[in-house]
Amino acid sequence: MKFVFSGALLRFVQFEKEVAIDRNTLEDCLRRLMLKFPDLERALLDNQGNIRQTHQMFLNGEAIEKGVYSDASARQAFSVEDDDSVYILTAIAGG
Amino acid sequence: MSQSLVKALGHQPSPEHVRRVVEELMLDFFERDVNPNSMQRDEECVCLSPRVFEQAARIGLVNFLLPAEVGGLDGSRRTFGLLLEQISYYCEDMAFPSILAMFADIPNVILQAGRPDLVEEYVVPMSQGRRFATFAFTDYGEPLFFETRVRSAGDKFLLSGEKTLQTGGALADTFLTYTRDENDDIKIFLVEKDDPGVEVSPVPTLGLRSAGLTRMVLTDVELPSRRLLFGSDGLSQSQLFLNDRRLFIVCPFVGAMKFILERCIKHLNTVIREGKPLTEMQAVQSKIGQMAIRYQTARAVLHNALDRAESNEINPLFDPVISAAKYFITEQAIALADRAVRLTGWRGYSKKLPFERYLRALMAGVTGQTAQDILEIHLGVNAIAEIELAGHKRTEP
Repeated sequence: MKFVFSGALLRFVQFEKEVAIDRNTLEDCLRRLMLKFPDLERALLDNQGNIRQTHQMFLNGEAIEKGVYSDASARQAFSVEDDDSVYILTAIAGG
Repeated sequence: MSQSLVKALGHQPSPEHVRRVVEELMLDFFERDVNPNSMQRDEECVCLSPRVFEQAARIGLVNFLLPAEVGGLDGSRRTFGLLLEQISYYCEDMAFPSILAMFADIPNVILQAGRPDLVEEYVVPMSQGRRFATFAFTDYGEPLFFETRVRSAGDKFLLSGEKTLQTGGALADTFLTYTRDENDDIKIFLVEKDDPGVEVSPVPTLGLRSAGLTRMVLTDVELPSRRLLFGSDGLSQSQLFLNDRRLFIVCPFVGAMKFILERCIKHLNTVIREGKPLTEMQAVQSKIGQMAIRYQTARAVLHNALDRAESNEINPLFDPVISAAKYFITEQAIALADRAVRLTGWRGYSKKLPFERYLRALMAGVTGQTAQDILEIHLGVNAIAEIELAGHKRTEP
């Protein structure tokens, strides 16, 4: 599968728009991704290990329900295929 | 008295109905408590009095958005936005609706923590105008890299840093303070103005000088754990709050646009050139027409965004329609006030007319609730993402 990034997260993946990962679940893919880009973890996850609500995820262009990807156990149960794309859209605005 | 407001507004009132309600129930209040000395407050950078907001609470404006079980009026965000629009038309100090929008919405954030002790200590007194809270978010660092830090110290927390700008901070007892923890997560605390180590001071600004704008410096402020409002993902909570705030900041702008347009026309009617008032000259009529177009389109955009705020279509974290409305209305309002100054010459540039003061106040929209230039980027990223996401969709065989 591949991750596709947009917005504020791009700087944490060295501005690589797309990153391919060879794993079978969303959680394993994310762990692999964060191993490759260590700075990403703190931007993507809160201190409970949940994906911050402000990151919106899409599987093959369709929005994924937040409950499906917010915590690690749900992500572990989320299977991904080789040709899947997970798009992460982030908008973090100031006050 | 607050129940009178609910009864008068009814369910889903039209904009015109809201205008009549504001005129009927609030005009005396504005003319007695808000409008006098508005120019002097601006000149001397004097904040509106807390009594103004205590009175606003009695009318039902401060508790309008809160649920009935905590003393609120269960009012809708759409109706509150329409109220802010009309209040700004009748009220000659734009700081009033600006602070009001903050004081009315912050208690909802505290309520979201779901803690009964905080309801008694904070939300109920706030709904009654007995204490006020503001949003201490803006920092020298961007949100992912806030320089205001928190560290654990046993069962307590120590906060240090500086929050650079708060609306109504001069009146606030409590500051919802966003801090970065050891894991770079955002924690939100309830900081009291009189907590040891807290220093709140005025921030001199171009406009909105009676809005009590402050900065808050935190020097090893020790807080008990009960003051921790949200222990994780405060960043997302801030984005939810700011999404609505972007809409509320521009509601008063539209009311101000109507005020400026009408006041400008009335003034130009009194200026005689070639034996005729300026309003009879086509060049002037054309410019007034441009101002009217700006006002009407801004109003239409605002009402569309307010309707959307009540719908299921809204993206609560970053809604592109609401953000585009904030951007568009701010630009239209500044252009309209700028035109009023140009049409009225030296009088418009001076304090003989209120336009220069309004122009300065409207400039707050350029920087507040996400700077215009940053919004352009976010809206661009969103538009690009929509196209990219469509490209990722699977087509059925």
